[in-house]
Amino acid sequence: MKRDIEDVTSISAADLEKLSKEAAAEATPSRAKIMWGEFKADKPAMASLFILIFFILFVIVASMFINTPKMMETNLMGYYAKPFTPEYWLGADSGGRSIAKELIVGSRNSISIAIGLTIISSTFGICWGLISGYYGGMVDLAMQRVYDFMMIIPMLMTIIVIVTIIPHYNAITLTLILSIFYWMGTSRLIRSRTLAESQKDYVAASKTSGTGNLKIIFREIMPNISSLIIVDTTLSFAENIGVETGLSFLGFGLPMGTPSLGTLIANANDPENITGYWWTWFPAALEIIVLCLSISYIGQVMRRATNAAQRRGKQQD
Amino acid sequence: MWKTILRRVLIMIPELVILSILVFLLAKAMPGDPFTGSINPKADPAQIHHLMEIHGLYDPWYQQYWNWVVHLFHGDLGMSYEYQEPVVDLIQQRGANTLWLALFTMVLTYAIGLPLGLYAAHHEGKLQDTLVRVYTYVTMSIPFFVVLVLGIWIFGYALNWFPTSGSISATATGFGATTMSRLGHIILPGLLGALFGTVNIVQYLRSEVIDAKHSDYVRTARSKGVPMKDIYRHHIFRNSLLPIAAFAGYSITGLLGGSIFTEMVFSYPGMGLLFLNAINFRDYTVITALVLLYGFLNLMGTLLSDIVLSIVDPRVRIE
Amino acid sequence: MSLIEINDLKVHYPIRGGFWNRIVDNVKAVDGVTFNIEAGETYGLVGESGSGKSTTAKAIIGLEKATSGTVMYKGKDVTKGENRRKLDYNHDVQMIFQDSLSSLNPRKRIEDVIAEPLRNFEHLDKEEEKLRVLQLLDIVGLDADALYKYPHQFSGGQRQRIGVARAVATHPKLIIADEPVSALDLSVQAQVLNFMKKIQRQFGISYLFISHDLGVVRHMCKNIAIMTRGRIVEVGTRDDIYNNPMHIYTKRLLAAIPETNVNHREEHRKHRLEIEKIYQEQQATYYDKDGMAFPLVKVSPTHSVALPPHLAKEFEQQSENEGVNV
Repeated sequence: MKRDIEDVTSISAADLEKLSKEAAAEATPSRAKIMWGEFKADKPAMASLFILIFFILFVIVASMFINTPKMMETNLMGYYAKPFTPEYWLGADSGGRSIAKELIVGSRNSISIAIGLTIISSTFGICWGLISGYYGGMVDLAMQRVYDFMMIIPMLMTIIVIVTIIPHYNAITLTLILSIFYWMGTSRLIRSRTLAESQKDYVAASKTSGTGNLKIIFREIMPNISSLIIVDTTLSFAENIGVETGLSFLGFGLPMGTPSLGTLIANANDPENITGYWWTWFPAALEIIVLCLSISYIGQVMRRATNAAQRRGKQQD
Repeated sequence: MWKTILRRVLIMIPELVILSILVFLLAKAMPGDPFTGSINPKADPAQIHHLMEIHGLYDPWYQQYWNWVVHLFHGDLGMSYEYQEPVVDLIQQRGANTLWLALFTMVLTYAIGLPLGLYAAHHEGKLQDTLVRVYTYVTMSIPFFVVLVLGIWIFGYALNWFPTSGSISATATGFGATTMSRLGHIILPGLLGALFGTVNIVQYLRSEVIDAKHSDYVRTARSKGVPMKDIYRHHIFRNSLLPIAAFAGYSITGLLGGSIFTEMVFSYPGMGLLFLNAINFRDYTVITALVLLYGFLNLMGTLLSDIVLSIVDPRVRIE
Repeated sequence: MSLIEINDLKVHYPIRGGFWNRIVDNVKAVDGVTFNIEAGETYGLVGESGSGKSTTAKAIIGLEKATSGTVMYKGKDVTKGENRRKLDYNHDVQMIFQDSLSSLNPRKRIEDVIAEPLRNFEHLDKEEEKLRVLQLLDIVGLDADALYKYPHQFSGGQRQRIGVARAVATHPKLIIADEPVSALDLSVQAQVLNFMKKIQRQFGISYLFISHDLGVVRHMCKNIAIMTRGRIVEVGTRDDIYNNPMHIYTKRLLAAIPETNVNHREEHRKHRLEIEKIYQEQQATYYDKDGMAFPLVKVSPTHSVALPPHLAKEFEQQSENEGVNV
């Protein structure tokens, strides 16, 4: 009575190649491909993406050719030099330092920190939300209490105090300190979606197929909330640009001698600078606005791309 | 309902204890004596060592913590070394300024956000809706401190419409004049804060109203001939307004965090500026007190919101 | 020996309340269920929604924690996680779900869906695995071009076949089918049921077939248990249940099967109303004061019914008098 699978099907190893070719011909494009197709259909989004990537590459490469310590030296000859001159494209500050060069190195620093902060805090927040939402019960309750507590900590003040207390720090330690305080938004979002997702039968099916919990969380559930993750990460990137620059603006971000977009904008704190020497701070402010708007815009388009009802690109299903 | 509230308050207690321990440990990590403010952190090491012994700063940490908590309960936050004034008095003066600014900002936020959310929902899918969405997208993307700098540059310095520093002009006398002067000083920062803080209200109200518009109960009411105006008033508003009001508590966190930037840019003498000065002067008693106070206010804000929400929405209560 | 023995299985959910959130009561979703499934047979578990039949299934397969009682498989109690792991229990016991769409991960291609249990239990190489998936697709009557498609591209019936292919993949001994066809059109139902039967014949699989539809159960099952309010009220062979129902709840369920013969419609209606009247009258005697069913009483070697105490006594005396050894 009892037979093996081989006995009841006519398909044998000989047919494998032919059949897999047949199947490959009928294959459905993956989600990522659909999203990319959607993106290509949106010209302004493509433009933003290219400008953004080009800009990031540009500041990284250009800053390699700039000798930062030398650039940060005071040069009395260039005291508040006017912009749009061959020597000082964007003028100079009170120390005679070239704003254009500071802008390039500062952009690289600020963007790198924002990227690092986004990667660390989002990864942490995603894991936290997935685990909290998947296991539920006591695990979730305990993790929620930690989340609640993190929410009441006065973040900005605490970060400033920590930065003041610790004697030495650099861009990396600063990024780590900031990461402690910026994962909660992501974790909450991911948790609520994971809670809903964990109730679905495909999770039960994976359990009865003998798949382990961690594999279910990261291989079964996570792909199903991947669009949420991508959109949220993009939007947090835009937000995170404001975190380090804001701190540096207050004077508690990157250590002295390390330019940042924030320290450049901090030039505006001097009433003389803000009106008389606008070029010392305005380009940095403009750059932050353009950066944040374009990253956000890319995030919005991605959100639309993941929402099938709003797709503009050609249907590929 | 009272049970829910009481339980929520009980949950708050451990949070408060952990917060105070955290602040205490941060303060311990600061040089000198951040608790009483009687040691000049810039004095010579031998003298500091002597003073620290006198003030019991070599006791075990839990004993020091306990002493500190007992002092807190007596309303004693120590002396500010820089100002030579009790910290409590300092915070009272500065706190009032921050409070006025925060309240003003919050009122403006609702005054702008509510009509915008309704307007967008009413014109769902049309040009007006798109414009409101562009507005929320722009305001939520740009870092707030950049907005403040541009705002003070354009409206403060270039156009000279608003004062650029302080909380009241020195020449103002009499109740009317001082009130007007105070108001004049908070209009620009308040307006900027409000314009760039409406995102949550607008988005929430818009989606709530749109959901309600398409819900079966509203369709039924319409088909029975109830005018749309009444539906808005009796069904849609009642459901969405209280949760939105509850946002006020949560937004305290954002307002307080933002106050540091606002007060710095506008040289507005509130708690945020007091904090920044204290950091620069290493005035540790003030720092400790302010971090604790801000944490406490955040806690109160979320507590308030949670309670209001649990009253509105029974689903929250079950948790 | 039976393939699997469920003994006094209970699944209770605590109701928390009061100020300290202490457990004040229990929802008895499953309250003392006992039955055995023989190798190669289809065992029917019937009840309305909320009767606890799905919870029973989930407790048997390990998705739901049993409060007490045992599920014995190969001499080990598989309500304990460590025993399940030791026995590779889920290699031998698989499940088919009611909602075919939600039970297939929407982000996985069919190949990965069907291969999931294979990857966990039978470490095949890539080629072997693909071949096995293609064979499984063939067995459930789907073409090879399904391999790289996503679940949403198939119809409900096709998806349920994919679910069956996944369940069969590891060549299990028992498949728990939780209302496998209730979400399908009537025409497709028959298709899927017939082909589940075919697979059973071919592989000698046992089914625990859960349904609320007595018509479908009659087509599929040899032994049937009727469940309500977390307890079994009547157990017997197909013949016992359909031709000699003794519990008022079973009678009522049977009366609710729609009559397809138009000529007898009026008669059928009368019969149904009569049964309903009896049910309303006798309801109080057939359930105890908490609304739970009474313990089962054997009325024939194959047939047990949760009779009220006074009827149960009668039966016992009767069987003693007759000297029938039951």
